[in-house]
Amino acid sequence: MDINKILPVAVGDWKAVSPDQVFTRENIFDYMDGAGEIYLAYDFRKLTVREFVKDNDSPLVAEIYEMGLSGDAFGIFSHDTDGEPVAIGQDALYGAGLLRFWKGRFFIRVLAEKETRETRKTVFEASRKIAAAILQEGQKPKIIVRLPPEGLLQKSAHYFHKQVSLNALQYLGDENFLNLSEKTEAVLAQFKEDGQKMRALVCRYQNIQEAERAFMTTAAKYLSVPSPAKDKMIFKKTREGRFASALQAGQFIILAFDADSQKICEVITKRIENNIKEAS
Amino acid sequence: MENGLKKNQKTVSRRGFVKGAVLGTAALALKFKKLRAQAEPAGKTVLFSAQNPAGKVVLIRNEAAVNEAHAVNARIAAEMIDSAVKTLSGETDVLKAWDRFIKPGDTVGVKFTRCDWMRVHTEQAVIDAIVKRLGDLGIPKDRIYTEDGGLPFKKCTALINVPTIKIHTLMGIASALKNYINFSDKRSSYHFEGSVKLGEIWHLPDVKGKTRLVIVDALRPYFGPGPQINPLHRWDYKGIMASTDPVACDTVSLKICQAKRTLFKGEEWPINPPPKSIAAADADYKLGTSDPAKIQLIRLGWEKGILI
Repeated sequence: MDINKILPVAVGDWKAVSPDQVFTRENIFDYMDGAGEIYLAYDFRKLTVREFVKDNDSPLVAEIYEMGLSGDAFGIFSHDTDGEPVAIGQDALYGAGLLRFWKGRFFIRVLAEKETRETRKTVFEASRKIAAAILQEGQKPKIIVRLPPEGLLQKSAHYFHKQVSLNALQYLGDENFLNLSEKTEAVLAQFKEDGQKMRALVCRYQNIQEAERAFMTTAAKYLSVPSPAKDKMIFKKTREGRFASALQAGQFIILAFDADSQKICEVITKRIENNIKEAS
Repeated sequence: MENGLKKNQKTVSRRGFVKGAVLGTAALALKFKKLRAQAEPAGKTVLFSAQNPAGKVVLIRNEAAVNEAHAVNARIAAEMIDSAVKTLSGETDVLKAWDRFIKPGDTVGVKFTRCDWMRVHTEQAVIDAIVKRLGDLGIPKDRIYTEDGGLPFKKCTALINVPTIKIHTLMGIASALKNYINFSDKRSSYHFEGSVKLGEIWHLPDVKGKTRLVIVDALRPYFGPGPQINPLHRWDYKGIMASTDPVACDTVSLKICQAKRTLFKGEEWPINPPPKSIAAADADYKLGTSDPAKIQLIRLGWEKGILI
């Protein structure tokens, strides 16, 4: 898709400064040395950066990340969920001069270095123009849609594929015992049950055999259960007195952790499992 | 729908957002204070108050150091740096204080942080204040290098490490220890496993033993998850730290950022991944102390919101 058809050349009195900066998987570190790995963990294809200036004001920067799949545009959007929801694109968040949204295969960030009434208005206007120019909407990953709404905390779901993303969101260890890769889909979310919060990680593998293998290593390395029974939920009480559990359900693994009790792990896991089954 | 906000939703400024979080969690902060008091019975070592410290950090804050538009007051920043260096040295005269760390014959590298994509740079006012004092010591301009990438550290006989504080999506935290990553030609290799090997950079032949001072720009730290800046996660802490111990500085910075994250969310929000570089820099690379019980933190100035 021609990015020039998406990115405006001017927004109000703010004019684009040419040329755009363009980055691909090969040189994304030239733009963000120290965080490119997070984008590369998704099906990132191309980043176009356009700067807008007006007189002596601080610039506005629009970044368009083109992903291979719409699910991955949602995924990178879901990495940071702080901000006020706004009605632009398919999901959008705004706060303190930064508007982020996703639509179709694109993740977009529009940032005013200094937030004023005028720059906020311009950031919204630029974002609306960009969103309108992206004609095709995309699908949210099915694994996200399959999460049970009951007890699911708003804006808590993060979608990703690889260990580097998991570690940035919720560190479970350096070892990749879940065998996460670009071929796996994972969602980390927070639930509330009986007034207590806990987290759940749902991983979808390409087939049951891969899920089985990952379940065995997760049981052994994370829950210290070296020979778990198939299709049975396994539990562990952590040193901090919290509870964790794991269950393999077909090509899925459901990991619950940071729970107040074994019962909460069980309730949330079963709820997720039922939703997965219903959707399958 | 003004500005595209969904119905019944208001826009939120960084100030409003953070203020809301602070007010909303005031009770939580009190609860933590009580819990901490219960967890630290009488007679137990109080953290960051070591009497015979292995590491000493001076933390100075000034409410007027950063204004409502997030602009730094250069004069106040310079005064804060002088006060911190004087306190660290034990000298009352500012030039005698600086002379304890840097000599007129030195060739000095001022290693600051310039991070264009994250936009969490060492403030120019901080760099200028340090360079001015180096000049006052009698060091000519051609023997003062101020750079981030490209600092000719091999030429330098002394280094002043001048990082910012930011939570890092791959390394946990990026501050004093991480600021020397540019000195290595394999930077990306330090991004994984909690940057556990970061300390080895400090032992490179042209780096080892040259660091005389660490001056941390804690005026506007960043505590968010990344991978890129979200201005909601930056706050005006209005602090400067001075030390000779980069590990102790990072230990203090980590504690402040962790407290800020908890306050922001109103619940525990751990720093992910945990920065293993700090403990490893202590245990494996002997660069300083990461044990809060062995650190003496000297607090000067504005107390409100100090978080440690």
